[in-house]
Parts: sequence; C-alpha cells; structure tokens
Amino acid sequence: MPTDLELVQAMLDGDRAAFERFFDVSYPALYRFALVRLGFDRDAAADVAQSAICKAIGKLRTFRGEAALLTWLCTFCRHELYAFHRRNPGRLEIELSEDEPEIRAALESLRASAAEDLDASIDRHKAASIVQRVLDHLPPHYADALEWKYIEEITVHEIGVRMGLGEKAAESLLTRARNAFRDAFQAMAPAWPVNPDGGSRS
Amino acid sequence: MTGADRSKHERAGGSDHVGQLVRLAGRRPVPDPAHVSRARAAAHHEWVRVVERRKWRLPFWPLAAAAIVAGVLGMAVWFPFHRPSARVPGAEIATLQTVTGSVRIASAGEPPRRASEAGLRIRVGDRIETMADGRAALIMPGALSVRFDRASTAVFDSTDRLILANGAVYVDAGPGVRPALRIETPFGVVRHIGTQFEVRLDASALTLRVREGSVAVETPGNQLSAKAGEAIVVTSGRPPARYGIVMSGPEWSWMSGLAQPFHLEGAAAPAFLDWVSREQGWRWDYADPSLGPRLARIVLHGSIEGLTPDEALAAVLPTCGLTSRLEGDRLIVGTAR
Repeated sequence: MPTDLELVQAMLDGDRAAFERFFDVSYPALYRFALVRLGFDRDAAADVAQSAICKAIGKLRTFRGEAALLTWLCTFCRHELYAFHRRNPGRLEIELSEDEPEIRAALESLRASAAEDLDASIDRHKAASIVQRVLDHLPPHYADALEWKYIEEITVHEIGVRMGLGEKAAESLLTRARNAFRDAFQAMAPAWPVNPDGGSRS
Repeated sequence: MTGADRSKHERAGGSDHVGQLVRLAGRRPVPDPAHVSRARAAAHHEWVRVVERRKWRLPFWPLAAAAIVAGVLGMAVWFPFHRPSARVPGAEIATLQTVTGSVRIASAGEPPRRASEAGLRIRVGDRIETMADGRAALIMPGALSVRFDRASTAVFDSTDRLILANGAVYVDAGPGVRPALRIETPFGVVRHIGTQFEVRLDASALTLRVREGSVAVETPGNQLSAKAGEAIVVTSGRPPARYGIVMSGPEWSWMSGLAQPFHLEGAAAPAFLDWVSREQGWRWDYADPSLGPRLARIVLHGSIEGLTPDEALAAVLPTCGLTSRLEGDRLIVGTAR
C-alpha cells in the first residue's frame, strides 16, 4: 500500500487509479467528518465534503506528508464548515471533543501518547463518533476488516476471501487491526480503557 | 503486554472490547450514491485541471530558465523558445447545439460559465451541468447527438468517455454511425453499438432504456446487453433487472425539444418523415402504398426552426395536403380528404 505522500505524488503525475483510491477513501471520511458537525444534515455534509475535497485537490502539490493525508484534508473541511456556518448563520454549530487540538494530534499520530483526559462521562453518541473517526484514520483495510468482523459478523475465512488472503493472514490482519484500533482509541479516550485489564464501559 | 498478548488475552477471556466498541458505533454512515457521483465528478474535474496545469508547468520552468540565458545572448536566440502563457486547452470534442433554461459549462482552470447560445465548443475535461430548468444537446464527431435532461451533471473525460454524475443523458448515434462513446456511472459502464438510448442515474439506480440497436452494460460482476425495446435497471446489492418498454410516449418526450435540427428548405417529404419518426421513436408508413411516388416528389420549403418534431409534423403535413395518425409506434401518412 503506498504512503500518503506516494499516493499524492501518483495523483499529481496523472495516475487515474491513484485518484480513484484517494477519492474512495477520502470523500466518505470527509463526509462523516462534516456530518456529525452539521447535525447529521446529509445534503449539507455532502456539499461541504465536496467543496473540501475539491479545494484540497487544488492544493495537492503543497502536501508534504508531515501530517496524515486525512488530517490534512480535514483542515480543508474545517474551513468549508466555517464558510458554511457563515453563509447559514441560523444553523447550529456542533463542537466535538475530537476537535480539540490534543485529540486531533492523537488521531494524526494514531499513537497513545500525550492526549489529555477526556470527560469521564463520555456518552454513547460521542463514543460512537470517536469510534468512527478512529476507523477512518486506520488504514482502510483495517477498518473494513473490523466492520466486517463485528458488524456484518462474517467469519475470518470470509474476510480472507474478500481481501484475497488466506485464513491465517486474515486472522493476523484482524489482530493488527484490533491493536491499531485499541491504541488509537486509547489515545482519544484514555478515560475509557479498551484493554483487557481495564475493560470498557459500553 | 504486547498487542498479540492482548489479543490472546481477549479471546481467552471471551471478551472482545474492540468488538464491543465497533458494534456500539455501528456501520459508518456513507454518503448517498448521488452525492458520491456528483462529488467524484467535481473532484475529478479539479484533479484533471491540476494535472494539466502541472504538465504545463513541468516543461515551463526549464524553458523559462533557457529563455533567461537566451535573453542574455540576445532576443533573436530567446524568441523561438518563448511559449505563450495561456493554458493549452483540451481538445475540442463537441459543439453545443441546443440549450433550454440554465446550463453551465466549467472548463478546466476556469470558473463555470453560463452556456446560453448554440455553437459553444466543448473540450476534453469540461463539465456540463443542467440546472433544474435546463436541458442541452451537443453534437459530436460522426453526427453523434448527446442530450442532457434537467438536473444532470457530466464530465467529458476524454474524446470517447463521458462520466455521468447524475441526471439523464440520451444518445442518438444516427443510422449507420458507429462512434464509440462510453458512459460511466457508479453502477456500471454503458457502451453502445450504433443506437438510440437513454441512461438515467439517480441515488439508487442506473436505468438504461434502449430505443434502437443494442447497448452493452458492464457492472461489477455482470456483463449484459440490452436491445431495442428493453430496459435494464442496475442497483447496488441486487441482480440487474430487465423489462420491456415502449419506444415512444411521454417518458421519451424530454429530448424532443433537443432534437437535431432539420433543414426543411428543399428537403424531400420522406426525409422529413424519417427525421420526425427517428426523433419520436416511431416508424412511418403510407396509408395507401400508391401514395409513395407522390410523396417522393414533394419538395418542402420554409423553416421549422424552434419547433419540436411533433410540432413540425403538425405544421408541415397540411401544407402538402397530407394527414397523419398514430397507431402505437406507427405513424400512418395519408392524403387529406
């Protein structure tokens, strides 16, 4: 799988497959990013995400790979959200805990490090939002594997078939996906442990 | 504890906390297919613009450096290396033939502009958008007629590929014309084999209706073909459905206002009837076979500019002492009593 920088370079070189991969991963993530911030207005979220991705493509050559590509894209989405709220002053602006710089940094690095404690009374809705954001920041095949396993409840064998992997490789991938998810989630919500010793509140 | 240890620990204890959280959150919401299509077309358009600009820039800077050096040596040396600063436009691939209501064309690197007059040239990379009140017809090489219904968005990605983001496009390849045009949608790719057909895209489905000839559809996992009088509906998650359709009537009427112009002055009556019938999805015939020689000698005069084919039929036939009636998809032409 190419790095973010390699993907962007391929796009700039006119590689159509790179564009398709970029769009297929980035647009739904930006849509979800906007959706929770626009009170789940699907049309508005689609418009904002479209503007954001087009603006970002226009500035692709400025991407240096210093931040994760999705984090970089989200800065465009934030600008578009701001512009949307300026155009629609009556609309409710929704602030999310994940908009805090510390949380953004944690999402970007996907490492449990120096994130500040979140409010321990994190509610179910916020948790769902954080889980979805964490999934968006994982490598796409990790996120897919976790959703297939836990939401579609398909077998490891079937996950392997979908990914063109053997059962053992699929199991290994799932393990890595679980670990990456756990670390990222822990970074965002350290007050909500997801390790076997601490358990999780659900 | 390592990641592997933790996973073993979880499985051994029968508790999978990652699974609990993922289930709690549920499937991540996804945008509607119509939104995705529209965004993909817009993003693609922007990407093409960026790539084109970059292609121009890459050779530009070495040339500019050469020009500076050459400038020192003298204008006579520099001048042949000079390049105009304007972006090299994409190749022209179509001409706007008819516009009704609001239609916008966005060329790479330029803001969208309102298309209000026939004759505007469409280039590779251009995006055409018809608003809620707009429709447009283009003519492509080989007399290929491409018509867009209201609220449609499409990008001419290359000379033979149209990406339909939403709305409907009707293609009339004309009798005997075999230009290749692929129409790509999120649900599949449509390729025609000399024909008249409509591709309609909405949030949930791609609907293909074939009026003449045959059309191939490639979807993930399926290769289908539809012939005249058939429709195929492609949705995600279900097998494609096929059904029979009528070849004329209200569901085809939107494109009649975008019909290819017919030059009436000096035309033979049968040619006029051929044009009307093709645009309307009819076959025409004589009420009495003896009418054939008489009809062939009739030469028409005047203009039918601004009239739809059925309006033109109603206006022209009485001036020739002729009448017509419809029997299903058959237009029967007879003499006025």
